[in-house]
Order: sequence, then C-alpha cells, then structure tokens
Amino acid sequence: MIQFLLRRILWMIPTLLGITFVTFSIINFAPGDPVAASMGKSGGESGGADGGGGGQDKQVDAVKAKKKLLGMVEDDPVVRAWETANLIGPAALARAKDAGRPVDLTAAASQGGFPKFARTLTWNQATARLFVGSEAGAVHVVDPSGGAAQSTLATGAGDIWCTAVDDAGRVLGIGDTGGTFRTVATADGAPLGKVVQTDRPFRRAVAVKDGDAPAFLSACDDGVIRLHAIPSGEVVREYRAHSSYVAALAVSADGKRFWSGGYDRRVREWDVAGGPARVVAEAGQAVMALALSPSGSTLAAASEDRSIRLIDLRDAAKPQRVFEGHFKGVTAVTFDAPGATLWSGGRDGRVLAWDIEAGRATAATADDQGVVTAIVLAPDGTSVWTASESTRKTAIWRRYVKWLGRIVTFDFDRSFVTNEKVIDKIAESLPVTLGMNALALFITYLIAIPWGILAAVKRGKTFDRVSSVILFMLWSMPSFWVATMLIMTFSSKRSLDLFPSVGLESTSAAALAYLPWLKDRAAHLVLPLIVMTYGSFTGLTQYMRTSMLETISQDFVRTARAKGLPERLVVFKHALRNSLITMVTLLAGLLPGMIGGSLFVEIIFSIEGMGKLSYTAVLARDYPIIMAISTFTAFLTLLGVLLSDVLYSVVDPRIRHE
Amino acid sequence: MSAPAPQKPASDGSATTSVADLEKRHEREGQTYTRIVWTQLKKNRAGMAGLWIVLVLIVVAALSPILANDQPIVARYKGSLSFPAFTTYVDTWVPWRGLRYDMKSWKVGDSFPFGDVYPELEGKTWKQVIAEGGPDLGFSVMPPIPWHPTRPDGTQLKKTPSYETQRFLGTDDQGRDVAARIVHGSVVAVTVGVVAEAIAVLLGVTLGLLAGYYGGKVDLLLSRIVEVVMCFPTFFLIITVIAFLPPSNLNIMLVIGFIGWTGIFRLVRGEVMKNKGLDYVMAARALGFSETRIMFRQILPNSLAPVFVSAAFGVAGAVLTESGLSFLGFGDTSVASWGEIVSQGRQYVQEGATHLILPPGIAIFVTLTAFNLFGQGLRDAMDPKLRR
Repeated sequence: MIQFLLRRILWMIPTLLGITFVTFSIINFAPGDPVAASMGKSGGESGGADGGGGGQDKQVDAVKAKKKLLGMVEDDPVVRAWETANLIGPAALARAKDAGRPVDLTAAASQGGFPKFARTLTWNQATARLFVGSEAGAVHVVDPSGGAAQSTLATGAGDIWCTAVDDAGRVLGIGDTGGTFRTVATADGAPLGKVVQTDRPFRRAVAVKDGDAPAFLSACDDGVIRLHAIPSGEVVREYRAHSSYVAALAVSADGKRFWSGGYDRRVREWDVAGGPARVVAEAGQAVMALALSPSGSTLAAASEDRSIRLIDLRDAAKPQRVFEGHFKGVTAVTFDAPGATLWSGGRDGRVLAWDIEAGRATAATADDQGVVTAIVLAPDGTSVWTASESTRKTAIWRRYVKWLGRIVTFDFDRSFVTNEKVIDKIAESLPVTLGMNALALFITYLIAIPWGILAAVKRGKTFDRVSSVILFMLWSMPSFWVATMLIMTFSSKRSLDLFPSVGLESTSAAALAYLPWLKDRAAHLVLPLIVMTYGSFTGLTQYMRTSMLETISQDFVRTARAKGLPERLVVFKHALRNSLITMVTLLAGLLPGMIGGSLFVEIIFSIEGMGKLSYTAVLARDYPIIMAISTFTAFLTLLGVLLSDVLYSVVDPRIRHE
Repeated sequence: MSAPAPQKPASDGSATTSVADLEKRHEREGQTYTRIVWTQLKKNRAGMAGLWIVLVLIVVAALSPILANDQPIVARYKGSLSFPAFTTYVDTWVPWRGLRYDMKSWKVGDSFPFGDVYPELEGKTWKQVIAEGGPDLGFSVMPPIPWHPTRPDGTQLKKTPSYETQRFLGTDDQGRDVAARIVHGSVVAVTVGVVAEAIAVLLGVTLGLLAGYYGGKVDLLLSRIVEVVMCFPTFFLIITVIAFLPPSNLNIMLVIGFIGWTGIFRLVRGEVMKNKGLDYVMAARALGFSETRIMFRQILPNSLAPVFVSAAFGVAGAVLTESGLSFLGFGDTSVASWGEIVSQGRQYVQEGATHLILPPGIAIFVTLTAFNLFGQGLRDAMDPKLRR
C-alpha cells in the first residue's frame, strides 16, 4: 500500500510541474505585455483626467511596480559610470535641440555584483577608492581604475543611507536608517569609537574641518546636524535650526563652512565652528541634495519640486536660476570638475546632464534607472558615477524558477488591485465555496442514491422511463439560465419574493441571534443550492442506477433472493452496500468541479467564493490571483485524483499491482 | 425519410471491416456497420428527434438572414428586382471585395436603395421605402421577422427592454428585436459548437492515435499533457485564456477546441491500444502494410465509433460553454448570441424582463437536448447489447 502511495505521489511531480508551466505560460505568453495590457485601459483614462503628463507618469510607475511584482524585472544593484565629455558647449546643445530633447546617454561602464542597492557613493582621493554604502549594511571598497578586486567591509550598520570618509582615507563615518552613526576603519571595517544612537535615520554625512581637526557632519531626520569627532565619532557640536528632516549637506572646499537643506524646504549656511545659520534659499518642496560648484560660488539645490536651483553665494540678490527637466523629485546632484556641467538624478529614474551656461539639459539616460540615490564625480573629471535603484529584465526561465520557488512555499504574492495577500484572499473564499459545494454534494447524494436505487429496482417501468427523461432534461439546462429563472421566479418583486438573491447573508446578519441568523443564512442558500445540485443529479443518479443494476445481477444477490430474503432486505442490505462503493470513490473525482463549478452560481448570486474571485480577477487582469487560483485548483484536483485512486485501491486491492 | 441525414453517419463509419471483400459483400447484403447503427438509430425515437431538431437548427442558422432581417427578401423597385436580405450571404461567403461589389450591382443584395442609382432614395431604409409605398415600388416580401438582430430600430430605443408592440418577442435594452436575435443566435451556437468540437476531435483523434499506437515515450508524454490539462477546471481555464484574447468567436472556438480534446484523446488512445493487439492488425502487418497505412486505414476506422458519440455530446458541451462565455460577457458582441440575451435579462430581472430570459434559454436548452439526445441515441445504437 505504502509503495503504491509513494509511486502515485512521485507520478504527481511531473504533472505538478506541468500545471505550473501551463499557468505560467498563460500569463506570460498571453498576447501583448501582460502588465501593459492590464494597465492600458485604466492608465489611459487616468491620464486624460490628469491632463496628460501626470497620469502617464502614474501609469509608468504602476507598470514598473507591477512588473516588479510579477518578477518580470529584478533589482540590479550596480554603480554606473557616465562619460562627461562632449556634453556641454554649442555642439551638445545643437544635438539636443535637433533631437528635441536631451540626447541619449549610455553608461560607459558599470560596477556590479552588489548584493543589494548601493545607496551612497563616496570618493576618497588619498586612497583612490570609491566607498559604496549599500542597503545590506556593508560598505564596498571599489577601485574604479579597473580590475582590482573590491573588498567589502561588514560594518554592523543597518540599511546604510550615508557614508563619509576623512581626507586621509582612514576613517569611515556611516549613518543608517536605524538611527545609528558609527566610525569604522576603512582598512578592515573595525569600529573605532562609540555608536551614536538617535531615534531617526541618518540621511547624509560629509567630512569637514573642525578648526584644523578633521570631523564628520551628519544630517539626521530629527532635524539636527551633528559634528562627530574623528575617530571616536562622539558628537562634538550640534546645529539646530531645521524643523524637519535634514536631507542634504554640502561643504566648502576648505571644509570650514557648510550648507544644509531638508524637508522644511530651506537651505541654510553654517559655520562649522558654530554660530547661527543663515537661510540662503527656499525651495518649493523638500531639498533633497546640495552640491557646491568647484569655484565655490554656486550652490545647486535639488528639490522634490522637480527642479534644481542654482544659488549664487556671492551675490544673494541675484535671482536664482531654476533648472526644470526631471518629471519627478530630484534626489542627487553634482558638478563636474570645470563647473560647466551639472549632473542630476531623480525619482523619475533618469540622470540628466545640464549645460549650466545654457541652462538646459543636453543629455539624459533612459528612465529605467530607478530612483537615483547618489551621484559623485570621478576624480579624473571625465565621468560621473551614479548609484540607483535600477532594475533589469529577468530571463523568462529565471522568472519561472523563482515563481516556482515561491509557490512551493505558498507565497502567491499580492493582488494587483487591492494589494491584499493572494493567499489570504483564497483563504477567505475557499471555505465559502467548499462549504457550499459540500452542502450541495450532500443534498445531491441524499437524493441521487434513493433515486438511482428506485430507478434500478423499477428498471424499464414507468418510473425509470420518466425519471430518465427528467434527468436528461435537467442535464441539458444551462446553470446560468436556471439561476436567472429562479431569481426571476422566486426573488423578484414582480413575482414571488420568497428568497433573497444576493450574497450569503443579509447586511444585518451579524447582529442577529443564532436562530434568526440560521434562518437568514438558509434563505440565502436555497436558490444557489438548487442551482448547484440539479446539474449533478443526472450523473450521480445514473451511476447509482448502473452500479445497482450490476450488483443486483450478481450471484450473491441471486443467492440472497434464493434464500427467500424479503426484497427490501436484498436491495438495501446486500446490493446497496456493494454498489455504494463506486459512489464513494466518485466523490474524490468531483473535487475539481467543486472548486471551479460554482462559478456561475457565485457570480449570479454575488457570493464571494473562489468562482467569483477568479472571475473578478480575470476581468481585472489581476495576474497574481489568476496564477494562484489556477495553480491551486489544479493542485487540489490532483489531490482529488490521488484520493480517488487511493480509495479505489483500498476498495479493490488489485489496482495496486497493475 | 431519405433526407441528407442518413449520409452523415454513413460517410464516417464505413470502413469498419478491414478486409475489402468482406466489406463489399456486407454492402451488397446491406449489413455494413454503419447500416446496422443507422437501423438501430432509426428505431430510437428520442435519438431521431434529436437528430431532426439538430437538422432544423442547422437550417434555421443557414437561413437566418432571410428569416429575420429588416430588409425585404425580394422587392421590385422601378421595374427591377433586388434581393436585399441576401446581402449577408454575399458579405460572408464571397471573399473578394470586387466580386462582392459586382454581385451587389447584379441586385443579388441591395442592402440599401443606393443614392447613386436612385437619388430620390438617398439615406432611406427599405422599410421607409416600403412604408411610403408609391407607384415606383412594385412589390416587396419582408422576412417573417422583419427586424435586424444587431441594428437597433430607432423608434424602440428605450432604457429598459420592453415586451410590447407588434413584435413577436419584444426588444432588448438597445431596441434590438429579441426574436431576430434568437434566430441569428443559432448561427453562433451551431458554428461554435460544431467547429470547436471538430477541433477537439481532430486533436484528440490524432494525438490519441499516436499515443495509443506508438505507446512508450510518446504515450507517456501525451498522457502527462492530458493529465495536466485535465487538472484545470475547464471553464475557468477557458475564461482565463479568453480574457486575454480579443473577443471573437474564432478565438472562442479555438480555445474550447484546444482545451476540450482530452476526453477524446483518452477514448481513442484506449480504443487504439485495444485494437493494436487484435488479429486483423497482425494480419495487416503480415501482409506488409506500412505503419501509416495500418494506423490510418486499419486501426483508426475501427477506433472511431465511440468518438462520434463523444463528439455529439461534445457539441452540446461547446454550445453550453459558448453561451456561458457570452453570458459572462466574454463573447463577440458584434453578433447575436443566446447567452448574451440571457445576461441582459438577468440585468433587468427586477424589471420583469421575462422575454429576455425564457426564449433564449429555451433555445439553448433545446439545442443541448437535441445534441445530447442524438448522442445518446447513437450510443445506444452502437451498443451491441441493446441490439434487437
């Protein structure tokens, strides 16, 4: 027996793989891009309502998000290098003008292989290393000159949001989302001092000079800028003026002055030595990044209001120049070495190169970079490095394997439409469907068995003939039609208004006592159950009849009759028990019908079961739900088949040895 | 009684006996398998009724443009005859635009009294012309149901469907005539049912034959595939696939066919496996027949009998699936379909749109019953135990 079971279960594996393959294929090889197709309609409408641009952005975002959800794209944590040559001057402007937009920029090189997104980029001149802080809490030390292996410092920090290196390149200051700021040795990542703990994340860190001593500045979401001693990391001084998160810091060339910007929209100028701050500018929304031009005369403030402001530090009266080109908040900004080009990256996933003199973008990357979190100028001045939350297309087989890995652990993702967990939705609706089907099945058996017996006993007589005609007609009636007719007859104000036709309970059902509740529930169940039972009568009754006829014609029944037993005893005690075996084994075979079969009933009577769930999911193109349901039901069916095989083999041991 | 009906089963099951001489002798003596089955079927009143209803249905579907149309079957205007109701046939069955145009100019089907021939009729419909009468109009014969299934009649455009007026079955919520829609719905039902099942049979028979005959790895692979397809609830799988495709009846046929072949596959596979070991196959092999000949000329005809029964039931299933799909709104809305009418009736069930629920439902029911009865009759006729 066990061997038989094992063999059966082993045989299930290729079928299961086939099931997942079919499900996966339906979704992924359906004509057109599945996500774009599902978004196309609604996205277009919202675009119209928003007056064009905004809606389209939203749609682009939604498509990206869903692609990620579907696993069509995966994180691609790389640091990219962009050539700065030929991006400024009349020629570049002319090219951009000809194209009607910034010319396309392609990455000259990329440093990949980080386990998670790089968040920060810090260049250190003394060691000629690029320090890349990542979400994984590690700092990768990269030699950008090429070839040299990168080393990774495990720092003990959480999701790193900011890093700074002292000029000598020996000490690294790291701030993370967990609200800690620590100093570690760049050589081995060993902690050098105490960890400064706040209750808000650190967003930005830079190296400055406190008098002549090197120090770190950290910007924290509690609105305080702290000066940390090197190497101990202890807070030496605090700068308080910002009323909200401080998100940006920039330091003058001599390290004595710095500028800060934050969510309170103001850009302030500070003296490292202390003293009150001076507001130098105000942006429309949060200031996300600051950069000082090499000459020290201009401060660029990137803001969530999609613009970059150029603030003239020498002449405050001079009007700010505003660069607008990103279609979302600007999150990173830097100048190139001569101070002629400004580089910016934003939430729109683009990196733009601006000709400062002309005041317009001359080159742009494709908008597939993800949020650009850091931009840093390479030391030779010919290129710019960016870190971003970029993604790349996933190979289809990898998607399949990944998806397979997920469903093995019953992780069916979240619904596109409601963002609920699919497994929760199924857990909600499966009991409804199973419960109703079990009830319907029970009723069907309850009627079909005696009916079948009677038809068999009265074989060829009027009852048998009439019943076979009735069964035949029942079989030929489409369930949706019967359901509609039942509503028309029993649930319409124009005829008999006996039973409700919507849902499984009244809106006030929760407040009812047990008995009235039961009554309410029963009234709601009458019509759906009729529809669910009538169709399966035919099959079951005929099975019962055939099986009974077979049994009755067997020798042991004849013997029983010959013994002179009363006919009732012969039929119910001898024949019935033996013919019931087939009926029991049939049960398992009815399982797939139980899950998929109540589709019409659930739709017509608005019952939130599996059928309704799958129907709405199909209409809304809610891929995770569709994939989950088809895998799930197919799996249950397979289990049903297994169950019926096992039942058969219990009943008839010969099957095991076939 | 000697309608085209007898030929249908006759042409298919004729090659039951493999030895040609024997067959000829049987034919002489009127004892071919087909003839036996036909004789048995004729005795089965229910089965014959089913067959007749099916035939009537096919005729109705074929004649639907002349049975329900808002243009006359034949009309004489200014001395020349035209047959506007036949336009549909020309449009459907004449694939070349040029020829279509020619045929229209031969007055096979004047859809509208065109302005270039009769400027005074510019923009008028045939109905208006007939209503106005006048000396130019010689005579006109309107179809029995003088309404079009998809062109709404402007005068009947109401928010809710109505059952009133001189019409046979009232109108739906777009002012379209229900009776005309039901008559035209038979086209969709019959074509989808038959074509979808034909695809399923073709696939099932071919693959079943391969699996049964070659066995081994071919059988293993195909049987796995069938097992996989059978694991999905059929209707759910169909709506999932249909939802991704543009709504057209061709897609519905293809999807039903490509998902519904598994039953026939199992049937044919079993039959072929059974037949493979029989003496006549061995004899054919001994005669040096090629594999393909044994497969297609010897085994296939002998394994087909149960397929016909299954196909008859399968057509009923496909009709049911199609009407279910249109009921759920996955159907082709440019043509009339029974399921779609019922779904409209469901929308207006509280307004008492009985005329949108009962008639199309009965049409579906009758169609399903007819095919099922025919299938059962065929099964009984093929069952040697029931032979008298």
